[in-house]
Amino acid sequence: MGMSSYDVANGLILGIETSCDETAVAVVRNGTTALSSVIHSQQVHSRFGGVVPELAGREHERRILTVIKSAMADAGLEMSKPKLEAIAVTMGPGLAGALMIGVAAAKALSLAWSVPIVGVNHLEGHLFAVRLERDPITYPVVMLLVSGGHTMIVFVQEPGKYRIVGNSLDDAAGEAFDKVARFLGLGYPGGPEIEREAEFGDPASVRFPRALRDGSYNFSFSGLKTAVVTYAKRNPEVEVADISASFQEAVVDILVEKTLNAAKELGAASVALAGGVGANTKLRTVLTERAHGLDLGVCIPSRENCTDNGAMIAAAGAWRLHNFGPSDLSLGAYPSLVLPQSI
Amino acid sequence: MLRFVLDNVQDTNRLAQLVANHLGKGDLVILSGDLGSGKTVFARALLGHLGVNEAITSPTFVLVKSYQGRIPIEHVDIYRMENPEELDILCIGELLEEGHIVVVEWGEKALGLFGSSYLQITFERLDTEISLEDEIAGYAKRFVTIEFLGSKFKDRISQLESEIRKIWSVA
Repeated sequence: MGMSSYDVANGLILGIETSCDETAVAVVRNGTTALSSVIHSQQVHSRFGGVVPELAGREHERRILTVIKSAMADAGLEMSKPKLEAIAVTMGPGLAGALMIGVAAAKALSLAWSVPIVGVNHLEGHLFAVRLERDPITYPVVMLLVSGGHTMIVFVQEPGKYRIVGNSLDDAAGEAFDKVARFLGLGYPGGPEIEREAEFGDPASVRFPRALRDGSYNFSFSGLKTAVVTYAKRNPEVEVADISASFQEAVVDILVEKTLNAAKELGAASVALAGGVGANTKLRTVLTERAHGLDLGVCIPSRENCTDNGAMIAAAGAWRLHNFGPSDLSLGAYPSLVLPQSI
Repeated sequence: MLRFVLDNVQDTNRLAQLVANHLGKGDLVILSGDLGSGKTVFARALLGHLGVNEAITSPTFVLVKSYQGRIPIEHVDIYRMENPEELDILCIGELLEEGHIVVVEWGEKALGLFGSSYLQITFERLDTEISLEDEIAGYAKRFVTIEFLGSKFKDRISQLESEIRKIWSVA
């Protein structure tokens, strides 16, 4: 089918996301307006201190239909004969067994409803979260994508045209939060725990090193993690709150500085935030303030749109459908998918 | 038991290459040591030498990461697991039976649960002051200790040992 047969205007897209530990489904109009967005965060993993792939798949399987039904109901759509333009689904990267559930559900609905499917790259989905916000973003954008599994700076010339300009050389920022939290005796997931603890601490109490001031846009959080652990062992009298606040300060400082340097040097019109760590209040505040200081546009999506969600998949799917047409039903799950770089 | 000093990340990489050459289907490798002792750096190098081309990130957030090298490889991290007796949930035994190589960071938390056959590599930082720049550039020194359990490693370890002795002075 040619691309002209798919006009996104007024089209409703169902977006399905099951790449990790969120079963998320949304209905989005025009690729920009979420009519519904239901996110079920799997709780089964917390006692293991990390996502257990086997359990993630099983939980998605148990929940997917319920989540789809509530997303459809919230958007005022019938399960029996919905008026949908397409079903967008995350095809990777992510956990194989988790991705497969979403892809299988999308295919089943596609057959049942005679609606085409569109496979979406999860990372591209995150980059499309900015399009769900009320104010349109001005391209080119430098996006900071930070989550449990990724820490990257992506130059987005326009939708579909990406270049990864910075990446983590070792741990993702979210992993550093998790590991330091565990070391300090805080709970899981580490990001929100460190953030809560940091409220009671002094961010200037310890000056942790800002890694890789080498002019590149790459990150190294493993070294910072080691520095925090070494410091805490040598200074047992220092409060956990102070260490948490100082560690968070260092992470935010590194993330924001590299993002803004990239934005300036690449001539971006705005900067934006995506991914689960994007829910961190300190990161949101500091990035906004410093970007304003440089006269850059800023888009900080709602917390719900930063973490994994179905709406961003529907938004990216709408764009994919419009430009490249639907995927066929042989669509699979691709756990090691990378972000396609075209500039 | 072999114990010697790795001077820098190049040494870590060289050791990973030697170890990788001796690994085959169904082998379990346990990586031990404190946070920041060098397990993940070693694991990344090991997976690379086992033929994994894609980016290898730490598996702390997702407890088991699967890769396709010259044979399937699972990279596991149980640092955050509160109850190692719940290890079953990660299906390590099944993966080994299917012929996957399984590399477990923090495996010392549950040594008794890993059956009768594994290679264990333990890292310890030498307690010296080092700047973060040097740390990231890979200049931190560490002790490494190599042990094994089970007869299937016996011949391979003696070969590995002679290769190691050509490069490092072993205690």
